[in-house]
Amino acid sequence: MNTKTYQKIVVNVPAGAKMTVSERLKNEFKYAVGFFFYDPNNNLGYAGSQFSLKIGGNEIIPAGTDASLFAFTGSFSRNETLWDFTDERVMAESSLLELEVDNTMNEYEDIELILYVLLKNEVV
Amino acid sequence: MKSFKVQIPMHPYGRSFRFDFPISCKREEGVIGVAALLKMKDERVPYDFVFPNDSTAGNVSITTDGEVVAPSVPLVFADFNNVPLSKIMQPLDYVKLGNKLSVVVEESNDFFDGVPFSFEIQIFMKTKRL
Repeated sequence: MNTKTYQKIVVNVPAGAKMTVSERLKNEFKYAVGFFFYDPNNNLGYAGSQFSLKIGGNEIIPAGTDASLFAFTGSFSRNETLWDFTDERVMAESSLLELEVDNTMNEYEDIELILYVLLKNEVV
Repeated sequence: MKSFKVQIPMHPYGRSFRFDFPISCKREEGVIGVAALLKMKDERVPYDFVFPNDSTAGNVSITTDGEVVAPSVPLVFADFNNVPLSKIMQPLDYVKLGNKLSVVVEESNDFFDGVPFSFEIQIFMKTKRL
């Protein structure tokens, strides 16, 4: 049995738009222990995109937070970029993940971001 | 995580700024990490303006109900640091959050002297619930 995996969620948000994506976390994993974004176009910072993240109805990241602060760009390793939930004990097991991405701050930059949520069956 | 944004007006040289925020905690909650980022809010930056090499522009102290959470958090230049928040966040021993959070911003290296535009300071606190 796998003890960890990354659940991948791809989000495309046009310039000037706000989008909310909801997805169930994988039922076969007990905990969500962290996340990071991959920024394939390397424009999250330039676009000024903001986001919020909820899991199971609990606010993990408040609205108005810059997405670029959690973006994996290659300058640091994935482990260094990962925002870990520490001792929050965020449950996976089909919990509803809600990611809201706000790209209304600019008129020109469509953005694509790929959310990776690290899921585990044990929290060390 | 909790975050707060404050606006620093133009020309704050030689002054410090204190901001107070009410806090609501559902359960007992404490701070285990803190970071302070500085962002430009005005796009009319003079073309010849030179940004500091050390990428910090002062310090922030944070207290909750009078108890010190972090005495001196470096103010990191967010616009020119392609660094994830997890790397900037300074770990702290658990400090229980009270009902009021106070943030004092002090320029420490003359960075703000004569800067003709305003800034936004973002405070990020990594929290843990008991």
